[in-house]
Amino acid sequence: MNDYPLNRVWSRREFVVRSAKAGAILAASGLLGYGFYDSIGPGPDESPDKSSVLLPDFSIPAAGRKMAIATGDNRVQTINLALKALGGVESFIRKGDRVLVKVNAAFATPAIVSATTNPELLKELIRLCYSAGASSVVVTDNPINDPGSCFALTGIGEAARSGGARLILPREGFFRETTVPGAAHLVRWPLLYEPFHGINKLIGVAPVKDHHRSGASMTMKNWYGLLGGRRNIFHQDIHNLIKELAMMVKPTLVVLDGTTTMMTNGPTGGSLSDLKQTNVMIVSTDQVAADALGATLLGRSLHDLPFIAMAEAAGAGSCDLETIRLERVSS
Amino acid sequence: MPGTRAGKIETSVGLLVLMLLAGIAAWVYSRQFQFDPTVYAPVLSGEEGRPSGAGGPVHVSWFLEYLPEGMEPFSSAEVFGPETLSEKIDGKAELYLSAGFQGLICRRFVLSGLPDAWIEVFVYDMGNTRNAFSVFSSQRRTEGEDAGFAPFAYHSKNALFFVHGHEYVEMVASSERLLDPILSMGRNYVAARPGETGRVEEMAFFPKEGLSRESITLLSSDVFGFQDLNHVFTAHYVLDGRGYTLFLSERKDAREASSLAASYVRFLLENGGEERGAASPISGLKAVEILDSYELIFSHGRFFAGVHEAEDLEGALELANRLHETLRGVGP
Repeated sequence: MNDYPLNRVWSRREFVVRSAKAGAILAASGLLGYGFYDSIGPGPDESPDKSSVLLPDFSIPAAGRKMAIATGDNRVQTINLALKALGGVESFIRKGDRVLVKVNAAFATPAIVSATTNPELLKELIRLCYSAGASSVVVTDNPINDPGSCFALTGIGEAARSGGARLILPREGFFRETTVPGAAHLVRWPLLYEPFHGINKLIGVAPVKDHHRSGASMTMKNWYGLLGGRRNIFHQDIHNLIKELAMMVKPTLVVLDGTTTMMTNGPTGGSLSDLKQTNVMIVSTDQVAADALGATLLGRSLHDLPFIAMAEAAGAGSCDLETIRLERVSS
Repeated sequence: MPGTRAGKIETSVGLLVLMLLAGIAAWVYSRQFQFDPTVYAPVLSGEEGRPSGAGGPVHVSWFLEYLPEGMEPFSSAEVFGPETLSEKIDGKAELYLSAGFQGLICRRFVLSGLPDAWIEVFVYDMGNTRNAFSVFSSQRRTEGEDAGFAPFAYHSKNALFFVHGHEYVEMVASSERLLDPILSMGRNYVAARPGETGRVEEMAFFPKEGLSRESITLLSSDVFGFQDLNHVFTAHYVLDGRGYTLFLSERKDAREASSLAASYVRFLLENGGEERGAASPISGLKAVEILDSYELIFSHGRFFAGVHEAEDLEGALELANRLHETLRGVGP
């Protein structure tokens, strides 16, 4: 250590030079800090980001546009009939496939109010995937309410476990930023991405429901449960958001459960009197077509549900039911 | 100058510290451009430090005093405010917010030893009885049965809905066999606070003849697709086998009521409506034909009123006259 004698006498010149240096350092630090100061704060950045992800295309081009409508009140029977009409589950799920089933577990409500994916239907779908040779099945959603309560109280968690699927609940670190090309809302937005690791087939399973903001909640709105962040801000422009969700996700299949339709007071419902027995199970490779048909169960026209035509215009599918290969079966 | 120069170790340590500081500065600089909505969510007024939703903590004994024998808590109470309501009821939040929502407390209860037999209680603080009636009436299930213990109360096979003072209360069960405990809980809740039963004055202004009382609904905003039209009561009538919808809204004063009537007529005409002549003793009544139906509009004192989407002009005029007569009895 060097010694700095306390009684050392500084010359005036030394004092002025050292004071000037100290002042210059302080001023430079201040200027540097001011230069870095961002008075606006962080905001969405349009520049490409290497950490951003895009969901792969899970559709099977060779399968084409096809849809099956099975009528009956037994979901286990109707899902089997509908898939059989489309060539069997083996047409979509092959040996060794790793399947993700995106359910609607939005609310911690009992299964009888049909605000969420029906547990029996889910369990049968998982069984069918394994019977076709799937090596793994993952079930996930990012619910509106507390995830643990939602999966437990809806019966979806138990159905997934008893069916042999792996249940993935959302948690911090499972989200990655995504930017959907051409989207206005889904720009650098957190996406529940972790459950998609290793997945090569995607099935969406949703009930048909009335929705206070969008008019209806069906297969395309179901992808809302893949978003994180303050997604409720999108309710102000819900039709465009649903269109962007359809642009974001290209599923292998969608299953639209219209066995019991929530006709009023959606999306939460609550009373059995909100429900109507409509006895329809829709399975489709085209999510836009599935929703277009689901709208009829709610007694709504395409004019009432603008997101359907918007998704079609964005290339997510077609609501023209004349051009899709349509199979009708009943139990 | 002897003794003023730093040694090698001090110089090395100094450089290391400076490099570390430079590294931290560079990291901070780069991180500020990485927007993560899950982290940098906009802070809404009054939201900080709330445990779940909004509002203060709720006592662990909340609602326990109203439980019938055999029921016990299944979860702790959750509290939500205007900024967080959508975290509980998603897209339905707008319905409540536009009607003056203040806060929500909800909690689940279960039949002892039967984890599948549970009930969730929602108590919405709507600020006043009118607002509570608004959300009650606009969600009313047509198949509901009168619950009997409050002026605005009905139940379905698995749920109970009622207005109590400034509160709108929902109780939803996981099974139809829980209807009796639900009704007990509702009765106990109302009986414990008898002074809080509220009234909705405007309901008495609708003519009685032909009225379906359960159809009276208070619409809070964007009524009939017109952005300026809010706080409107509607009621369904049957006259000579035909259905009609009457509407009524009490405004601040006669000037506002008259101005609103004129604005609504303009709105209808701008959207393809055509004014029709109508013989009526009601001063200033306008009849507009739009989309194969008739809309009758008038104002009387501080009331804005009329008939909505009537298929038949004659019957609509008859009911408009009856409504006008009733309003004349109310006074200016």
